[in-house]
Amino acid sequence: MRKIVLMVVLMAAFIIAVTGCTPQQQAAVEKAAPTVAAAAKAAAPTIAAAAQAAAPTIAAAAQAAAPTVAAAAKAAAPTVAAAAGGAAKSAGAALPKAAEGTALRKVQDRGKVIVGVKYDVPTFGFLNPATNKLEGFDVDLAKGIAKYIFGSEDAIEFQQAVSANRIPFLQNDTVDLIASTMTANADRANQIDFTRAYYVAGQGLLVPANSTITGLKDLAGKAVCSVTGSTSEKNIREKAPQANVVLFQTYSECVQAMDAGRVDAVTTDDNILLGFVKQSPNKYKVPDERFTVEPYAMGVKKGNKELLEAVNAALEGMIKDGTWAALYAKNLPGIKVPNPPPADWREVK
Amino acid sequence: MIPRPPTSRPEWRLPGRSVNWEPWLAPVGVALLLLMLPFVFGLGREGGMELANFEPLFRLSTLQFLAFGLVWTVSVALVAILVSLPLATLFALGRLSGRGFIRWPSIAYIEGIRSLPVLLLIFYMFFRLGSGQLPFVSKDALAVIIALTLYTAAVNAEVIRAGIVSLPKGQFEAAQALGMTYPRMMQSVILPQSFRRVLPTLIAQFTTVVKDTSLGAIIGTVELAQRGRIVFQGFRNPLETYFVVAIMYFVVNFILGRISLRIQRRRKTTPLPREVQEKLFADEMG
Repeated sequence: MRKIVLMVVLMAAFIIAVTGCTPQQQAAVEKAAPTVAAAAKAAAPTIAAAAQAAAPTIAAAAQAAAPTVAAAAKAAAPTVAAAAGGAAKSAGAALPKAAEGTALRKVQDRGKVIVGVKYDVPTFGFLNPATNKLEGFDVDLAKGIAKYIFGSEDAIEFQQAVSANRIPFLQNDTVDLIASTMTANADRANQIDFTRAYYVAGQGLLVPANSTITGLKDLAGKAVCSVTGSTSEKNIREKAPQANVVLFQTYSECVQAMDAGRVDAVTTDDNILLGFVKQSPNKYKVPDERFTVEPYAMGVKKGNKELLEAVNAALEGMIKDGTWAALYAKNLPGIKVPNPPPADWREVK
Repeated sequence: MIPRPPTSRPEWRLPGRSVNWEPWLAPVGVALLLLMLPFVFGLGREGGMELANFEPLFRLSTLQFLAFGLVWTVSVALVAILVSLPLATLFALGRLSGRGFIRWPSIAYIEGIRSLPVLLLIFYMFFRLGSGQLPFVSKDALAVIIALTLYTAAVNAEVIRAGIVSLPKGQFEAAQALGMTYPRMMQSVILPQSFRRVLPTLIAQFTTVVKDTSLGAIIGTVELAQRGRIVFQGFRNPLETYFVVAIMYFVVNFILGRISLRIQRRRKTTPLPREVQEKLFADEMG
């Protein structure tokens, strides 16, 4: 009996060691256990094939869009990159070691950067159930930052960060960097340091692909759907008083109602709307107009100046060389890649 | 030929007879109820569950994705349960001890931990563990294990204490009269009997442990419930996903209950010889 209990405990400990780890480590385990990996591969060939087929076209589109954006960025913000020491480093190589005792040096000594991302936001940070891998704009940008600091995209570890715990995570050094759809605002800036803005979220509209609605001005007399009690509901009542606002419990229900022709548009933050577009790009579109402004920025612990500068330089570099635009197009399909937001989130309008 | 007794009291169960179906009736009923639930929640009605929405949940990749969470949940719960049980016994004995320096710390621990929300305990443990990396276990899993262990130990200490004090005084006196030392008395007379008495309550607490692992989401663990949330972000089928996840929890807790019942039966004293049973039965029937 005692032996059995001991065995169970040991087995449980092993299982935890395996499953309690991050998706990357899980991948390593799968590599070590060929049968499991084989089963997994056999399970998802169609999905992988579909993704492969889709990838080149998106990449090509992004490449085409990139040069103009990159040129605009070059003209806009050269000073920040220079100040952050971006000039001292050649592309592809690791960043020179920072001074002893700084947070950046600690990250460099550890050999990987720990980043808190969302796991449940399909466009920004999403643990894809089909592949068991993280994907999204935040995730891709974080990999770019790892590449800037270490010269390798794989020198990174992800930790799930939900809205309730992400600021404590930084203050406790559980993560080095937070990239989790976080809106930069003055209140949060008192607790953590924000990097440059890398995305501007805003309330927008989701309409059927063949719709003629392009913005608020076309909404008079139309039925617009939102969720009961949301800020989106309040905003749309203020900004489009002539629209007929229809309320549901979830956005999925709103979209169903639109499919059935009962409402003409759905309104909320554009990253949620783009999630619907990403799923069925032929059915929906998001017009370019936004009527609120929420700059997304990454966060580091207050006072980690060197790390903040390195992240800023990495982001600046990605904006300059077109990586940012390519990742934007890859993760947020269905809208035109905008000009990069200004470096200081306070200047985002 | 003696007729089969009308009661289902175990001591009357003659060995070597047919399978007892009675314990299986309740779970079968619950399973049927679970299968009916989708219709109660409006399967096919507008805004309710839809059969088509179940399809992505039964792809191998999705099941595998959920299975990772299931294994995490089960193993964390298992470790917490196994470690908490001896701890709970120690604290129960501590609280019953005649020595103040053992009794008072035990009371302080039990009353202190028991009155805290598990969520706070998990959050606190996670930040207590600091920022370092651990060799075998991921930090968030360990935080959940420690928090659940401490909490379950405190709650179960009271349960076990109730079992001990419910025993007739004669049991203690008989053991002492036989010259048993305190550990010997506890080990072979008191604790086996009290465990048998409180086992249903202990099991109830253990199923709570399994469910409470989902609170780990606050510190970013990717357990079963959280994986369910992630899944329906992609497929947009929250009702159906939660339904499947609920069934997974049910199956785990159901198996847990079965295992405990099995242990309970095995710990019972061996049945009396048939002649004695028959005589006892005949006596009782007059």
